[in-house]
Amino acid sequence: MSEPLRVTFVGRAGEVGHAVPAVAVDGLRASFVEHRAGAAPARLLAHVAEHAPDVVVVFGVGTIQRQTVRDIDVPVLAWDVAPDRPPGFERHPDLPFSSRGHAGGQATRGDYARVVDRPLPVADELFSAPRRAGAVPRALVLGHSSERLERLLVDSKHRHELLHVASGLKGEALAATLASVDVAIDVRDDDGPGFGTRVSLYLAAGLLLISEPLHPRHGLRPGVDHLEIRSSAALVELLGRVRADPDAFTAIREAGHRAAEAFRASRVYPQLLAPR
Amino acid sequence: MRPRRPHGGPLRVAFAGQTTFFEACSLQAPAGGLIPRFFEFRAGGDADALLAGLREFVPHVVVVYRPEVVPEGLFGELAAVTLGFLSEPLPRGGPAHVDLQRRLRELEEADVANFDRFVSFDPLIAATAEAVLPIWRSLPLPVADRFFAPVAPMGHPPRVLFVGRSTPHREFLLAPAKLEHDLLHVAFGVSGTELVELLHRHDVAINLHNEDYPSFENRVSMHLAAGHLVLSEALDPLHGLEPGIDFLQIESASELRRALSVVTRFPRVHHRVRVRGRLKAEGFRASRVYPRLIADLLADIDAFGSSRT
Repeated sequence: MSEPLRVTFVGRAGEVGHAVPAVAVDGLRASFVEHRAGAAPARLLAHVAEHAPDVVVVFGVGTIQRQTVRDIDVPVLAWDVAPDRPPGFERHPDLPFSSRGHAGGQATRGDYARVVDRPLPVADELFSAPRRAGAVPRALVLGHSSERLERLLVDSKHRHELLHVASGLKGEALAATLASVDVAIDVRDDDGPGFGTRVSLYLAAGLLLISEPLHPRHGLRPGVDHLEIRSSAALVELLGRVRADPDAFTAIREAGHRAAEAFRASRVYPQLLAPR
Repeated sequence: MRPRRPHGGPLRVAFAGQTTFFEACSLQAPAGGLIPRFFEFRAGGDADALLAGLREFVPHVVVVYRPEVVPEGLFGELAAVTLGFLSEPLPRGGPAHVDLQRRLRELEEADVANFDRFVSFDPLIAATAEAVLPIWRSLPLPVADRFFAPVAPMGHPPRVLFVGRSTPHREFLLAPAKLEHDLLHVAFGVSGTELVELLHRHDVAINLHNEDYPSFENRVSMHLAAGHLVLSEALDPLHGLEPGIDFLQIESASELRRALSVVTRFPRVHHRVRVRGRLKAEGFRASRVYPRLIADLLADIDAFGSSRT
């Protein structure tokens, strides 16, 4: 029997923690180090030295400095995931960013052994079979607010049961929150195409996913394993239908949950990261 | 005809408002001779359902948060004393933020005849509100008793919480703190037991105004009641709180970030502020405020009558 793959994951738990297994899974021994863009690398390097991973995965290409990639003597991969930040964050005068980018020396795609452009996997312990969370269906939105997001959500916030957590949800609190809702809404920051970083999480958690059209779809099928909306009015109407007859959407939740198996961490990481 | 209060007997008091925002300000258990019940009601909500619920409860007094959202004439036949509790900031004279102008326009939609008396949460908006409806008195929104908790040992690192919707002003002030610290930002939709439990899992709370104008948000007193260290923008009015003694005042994004850094490195450094803030929160306790407020309300109507009756 081969040794499990030792992987150190680097990022912010509140943004990508759901992609890192907190418990041992077959073929993978994971460790996680909290690291924010612009922070000094000492803690990260100490963690790597202590855990001696076979490979390091950094969430977000620009999260660490080019020199830090070079200072790690095992392959370093980047998972290309956009940081979850409110509009205007990069222009904030008190932050180490500017319109030119990071303060300096941040890694780019070419600095890594490999850059992965795939949806974030979901830690096995966050998989949960679809079930009714309460008498009245409640919807969840995770992620920073934006003018566009609020335009889409405002009517639903006032007419339906909707929880919006802008940042900082992780670990047990994240799992408990997912268990307290029936529906997840995924809305993008801008009008461009995309596939939200938490789409796979919502499906794995057994929630009914309501999303703007996904592009690329990564195998998901609107109307089969999730539902699409294109406007605030459509969202209000759809949440009203869910509220009136939650059981009518059980088949879609179950199909979504099955589709989420493609994102299961214990399946994705060993296949993707094992030495070739 | 209004239900008669039995001599020395309990009063049924209905509280009505959007649960997410106002249940935390209401009386939630019998106290001081009041028997409370909360009724969900929001702008555009089901007014007939509210009225049916009130008729079933037969309250002596109805307290409505945001009275401007009650449809015209809804309480015309309601046999109860009605109190409208203004809870939104308004212009204070001079040039006003567009957000305040919008709220004033909403207040102008209020049907004054629905209510016997109006209370404003802020004495500094009373003059503006008086142009629309008569303000009987001003007092801050109370805090439901269930939110009160002893000052607990600070977590390592401290668990930091901001409960409030996102606005550009708030996100500007929060951005560096969010980058450097673990900070849970719940933007909408938590109330009741879930909110109580959320508060009890945190040590430090942040209060920021909606936009760049002064006010006193009821989350300040709620967090003080929960035993939190409160970091807040300048409050106006202060409602008896003292910056630097009951809470820490922050003026900028970098000050907020710095304050969190200090408390992260030295978790007990502001312990005395938490203790003092928790003591001051007793002045906002719902079971203290509402019995006195409602006794005064009934006495005032007895003495001076009401244009509604």
